[in-house]
Amino acid sequence: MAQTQVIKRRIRSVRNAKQITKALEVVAASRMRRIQDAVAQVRKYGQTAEIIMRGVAGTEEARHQPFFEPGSSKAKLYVIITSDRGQAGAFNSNIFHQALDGFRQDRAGAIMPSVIVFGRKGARFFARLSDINLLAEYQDLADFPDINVFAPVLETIESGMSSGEFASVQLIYTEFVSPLVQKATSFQLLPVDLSAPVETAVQVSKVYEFEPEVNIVVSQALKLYFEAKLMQARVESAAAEHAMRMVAMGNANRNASDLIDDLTLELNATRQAAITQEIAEITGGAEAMAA
Amino acid sequence: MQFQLVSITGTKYDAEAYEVLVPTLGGTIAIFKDHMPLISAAQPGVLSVRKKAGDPDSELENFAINGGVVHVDGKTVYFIADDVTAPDELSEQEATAALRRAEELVKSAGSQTALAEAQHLLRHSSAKLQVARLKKRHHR
Repeated sequence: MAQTQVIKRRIRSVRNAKQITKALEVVAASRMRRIQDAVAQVRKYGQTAEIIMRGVAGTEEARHQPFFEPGSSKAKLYVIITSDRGQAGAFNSNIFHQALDGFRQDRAGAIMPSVIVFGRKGARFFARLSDINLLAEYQDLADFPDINVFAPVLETIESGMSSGEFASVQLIYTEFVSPLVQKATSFQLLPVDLSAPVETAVQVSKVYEFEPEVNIVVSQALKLYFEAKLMQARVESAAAEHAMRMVAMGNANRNASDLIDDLTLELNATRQAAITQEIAEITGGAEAMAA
Repeated sequence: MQFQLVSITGTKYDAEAYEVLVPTLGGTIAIFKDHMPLISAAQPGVLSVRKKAGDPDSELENFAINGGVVHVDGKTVYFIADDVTAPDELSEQEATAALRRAEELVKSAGSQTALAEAQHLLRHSSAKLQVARLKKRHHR
């Protein structure tokens, strides 16, 4: 009978796990739905900021700013967005792969990558790497944070770019394509890449009047552009995280059901085997007495 | 002329407009159709939209903005700012309270940066209050 006890205990623990995965799935689904509308809004903001940025970057005045042409140094800054919690399938490991690919290329060119990371999982992962320069880590970021949380990052980017410390800034985050499709993406934040196709067809003229002064306008436009892109990356990552957790927990829940079914079959088989054995022992004993 | 007003919480205005009044750092400018290509930085204040040529001032649509950048390419005007408040999101009471708080901050500011930030906030709050009052007047 000892065997059946063990199986019963396992069934109970799998059933608990199943309930937990179910709860996590439901929570992730509701949080994803809540953030989904924000994704569309922030994307629109990001696109408009990009239109303006293209206008600025295409002008003669802007061409000599460090933000639009690669500097002499080759150092790169990575801004990486991960999650605080696990149990979201391959969400974080996709991001790590994307980042490590970038680091590998840098190492080939003898460049020490600098990293700013959002999310506890990423903070732990990148703290263990020895050949990168971890500048800052931020944890417990809201799904739709206040815009001011990015202020220190903006400052690092601006001072690093204007002093020539970094030549480019990569933003690594998870793109929320649909609730079932998410993609780890590396976006070149700086220098502003004009070769990429424009999503909205806009005629960008090359000659603009800057009011009141080109430097003030460019720095204001850059600030809004960075904020827009960082915010977009954060909100898309949050939506993708919840979507992936929802799917992962849905799968775990189904696995738990299968496991319970298998264990129940096994339990019945062992119980019946025990009963059969007992009967065989009794009849065997009776026969021995009769003989 | 098409006018798009986009903030981080969504598109606040996306339609035809006859005239857009933008408070830039160099003073308020009016943008009409076929304006020369322009990129300008805005300061906290009230942005107003006149939808049709004959509309009186009382028909203007007002928004309180917290800085931002305006981009004009002749046909379309884009304006982005991280904080754009439409009149129906504002109440005069709250706006007045926010203005009081901003005034306190200006008084108690310890450093130059804190003072600059407080003054920025003060201008933003007073723009909000102005928009809230304009709304009230029009509903009367």
